[in-house]
Amino acid sequence: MPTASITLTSADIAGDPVNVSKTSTCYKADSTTPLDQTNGLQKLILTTNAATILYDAGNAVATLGLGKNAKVFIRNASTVSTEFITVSTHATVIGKLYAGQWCFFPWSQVDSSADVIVTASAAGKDMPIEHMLMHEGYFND
Amino acid sequence: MPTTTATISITNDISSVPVNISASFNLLQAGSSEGMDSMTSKRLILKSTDQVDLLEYTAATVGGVASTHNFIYISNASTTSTDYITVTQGAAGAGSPTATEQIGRLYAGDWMFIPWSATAAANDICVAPNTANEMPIEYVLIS
Repeated sequence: MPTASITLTSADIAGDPVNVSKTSTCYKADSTTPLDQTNGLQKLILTTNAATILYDAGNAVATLGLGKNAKVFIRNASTVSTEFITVSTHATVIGKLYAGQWCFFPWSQVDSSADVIVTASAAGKDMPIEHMLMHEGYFND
Repeated sequence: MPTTTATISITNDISSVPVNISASFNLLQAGSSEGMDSMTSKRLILKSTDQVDLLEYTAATVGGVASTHNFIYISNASTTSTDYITVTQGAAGAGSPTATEQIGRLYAGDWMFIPWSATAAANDICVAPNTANEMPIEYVLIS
């Protein structure tokens, strides 16, 4: 079964150590059946600072399925500390991932504008991005 | 400056060629080598399907200055598999399900970890349970 685990640790951000640890199995919506489709881990190089659609909800609504469950992993694989990518869904910015940083979140393909989009902080930087989608739904529905 | 580390491990055995991912990083201030130094963590019990303004964008203010680079961990701590919260971003106040854009659903036991550019009221992080049964939610904000 596909699983995702996080540990969030700090010995000194507060007076007492912080240690958050969580593992979850990636299930289909309203189900204890695991997600059964994936695009695998992909790597791309962003060479411009134009918005790049990683996952197209216009296709997702038709193929992955409205109201289905999906999990998105994105990592900025750059090693230059000032380089970042901006992660957005719809037209709304979620946040920035600087070099080495990653995010993991559920993705609801609620409408055709719910694309998952990344934008590099600058053009001409050859910024490497790694990403993976695990999902349900029928690819040719 | 504090050192806070986030590590993810993903086992993707959906296909016959499994993919295992492990990645970690230190949470640094934007474009800096200084560690993030502010933290809020809470556990809430929600008992209504009303939308809750979980994190107003002003929550990311550090030393009176808006922080545009933060990280959020949110977990649905319910144990009932059909219980979920819908996580959205928008300008909605508590109880108002309008003017938000949906990111996704966290079912029982699910978690998410995202960067958060809290620059305007439209960046509030809101959650709405699918049931009025008691639903425990946990979150951590690091700025």
